[in-house]
Amino acid sequence: MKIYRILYGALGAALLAGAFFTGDYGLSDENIKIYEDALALQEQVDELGFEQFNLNEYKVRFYDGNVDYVVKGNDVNKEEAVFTTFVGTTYKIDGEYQVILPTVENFAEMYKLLGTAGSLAEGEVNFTEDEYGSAEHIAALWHEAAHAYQMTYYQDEILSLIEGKVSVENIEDVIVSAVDSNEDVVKLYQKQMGILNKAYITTDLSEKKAYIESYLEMETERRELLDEEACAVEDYYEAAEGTARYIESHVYRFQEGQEAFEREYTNETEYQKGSGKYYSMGMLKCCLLDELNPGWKDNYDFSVTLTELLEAL
Amino acid sequence: MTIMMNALKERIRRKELYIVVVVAVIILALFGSDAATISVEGEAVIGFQSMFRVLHVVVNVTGCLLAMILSLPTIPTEYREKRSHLVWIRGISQVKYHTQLTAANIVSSALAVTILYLTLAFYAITQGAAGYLPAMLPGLLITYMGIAIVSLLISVLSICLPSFAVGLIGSICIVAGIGHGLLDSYKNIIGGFSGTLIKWILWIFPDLNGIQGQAANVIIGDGVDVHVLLKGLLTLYIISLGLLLFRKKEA
Repeated sequence: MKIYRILYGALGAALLAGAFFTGDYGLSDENIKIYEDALALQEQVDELGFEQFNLNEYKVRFYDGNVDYVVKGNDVNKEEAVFTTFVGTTYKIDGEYQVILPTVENFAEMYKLLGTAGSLAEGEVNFTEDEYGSAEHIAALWHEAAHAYQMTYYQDEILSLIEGKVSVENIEDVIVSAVDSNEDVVKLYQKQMGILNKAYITTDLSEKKAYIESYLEMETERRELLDEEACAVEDYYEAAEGTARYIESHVYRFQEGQEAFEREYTNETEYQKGSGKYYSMGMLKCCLLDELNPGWKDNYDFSVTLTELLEAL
Repeated sequence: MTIMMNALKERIRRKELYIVVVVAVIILALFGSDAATISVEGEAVIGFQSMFRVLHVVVNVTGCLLAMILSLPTIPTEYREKRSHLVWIRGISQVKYHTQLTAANIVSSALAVTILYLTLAFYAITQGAAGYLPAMLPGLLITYMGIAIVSLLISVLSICLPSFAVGLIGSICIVAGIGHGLLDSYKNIIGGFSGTLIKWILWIFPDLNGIQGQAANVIIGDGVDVHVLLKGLLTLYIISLGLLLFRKKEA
């Protein structure tokens, strides 16, 4: 009888050891490579012109569904999760802004579950499940790093766009109630999207300027239909998210080329409810400013709206 | 061995086994024919491998339900009908008695799954994919593992808990086990208390879908995750400890 007990105990020990040693632990190599590849793009991102914007300044937290793997340089540390839900964001932890993203595996799982990237990608990432991979995750990482940069160096300036003007806690509610529910505003915005896209596509400089002028005229008309609160929120989203999308899209371009960049980022013609549309419009404005005023990012502190920069051309 | 054989004969005689098997065969026949189509994420499932994977899930779910239905009444019935006294007077220990009854549960559940697997084999032949048949044997063995987990868990719990509680836990085990991957992602989307609750449920209950997925992988020729299989075996081992630990007061 004793021998059976020993054998039974040994079997349990063997199974435990087998299960333990065959498991995957820690941050996967794919995520580490994503981080390293993202860092390797720093020089190209520097050429975009945002001063002091260095990815290696910010810790990146990859959430694997249970814990955060905090990466900076060659260090990877396992820490308690800041958010026990999938989010892509920047968050102040121990006095510094850090980037938070799900692991690429979890992001892919989320696509399978929802068919989209769900709440995480509220206007942020516009890829289908089949398209999403390392290049897209690197772009998303830079997007959130852009927010960490904004909040580290220009928090007061960027928040000045909405401070004292917005009365609700969730600013997206303003867009839903004041913009998306107003048919006239929506119609005008759709027209503006088309015009700004044409401005981006044309290579004729005078034509480009004419489109921008037309866009700005419609913008004045549209804004008359909105209250100060809604205008402030639009300006804020374009400055904060538009520039972050601009960085994300160019990081994608560095990896996948001009054609893929234009296919994935500059073809936005459908009106999106919520804040998503400002990501695209803001990005497009950044691209136009690059063409017409290449030095626009010199000393840019996010306190000036992208529309104001277009008006100043 | 006699206890097990007697229990096994009784399980096979039960009507519910045949009813569930017939229903499952009908479902498989429907999915496997042109009479019905299924879609995943809005797209019709076409092609042998995709369809086979779906049918394999159906087999696994049906097998798990069968395992619960067959295993749930076995031990309580033995005690309720006082058959246990006949065993005690022969000097047979509770551990041996419960183990043999549990073995009968597992074997009868495995038999039902084998019948369902034959339907899968038939489907493969009719689809001109007879080449997959040899790999169905190891696939079946892996599928047994998931079925055995359910049957063993139900059997062990039925030693010490009332039937309704065992049925409830068994149902949660099957739902959580089949939807393991889905729930794992879902918990991270909803977060909060619900997310934490789901996290604990997933920690407690084994990934039955993961195990059946490995079985399908073996048959189709995709890579097999040994870790999932070893975790399944470890789960079986841990639950089996309950046969040593739990006793009926009556004895």
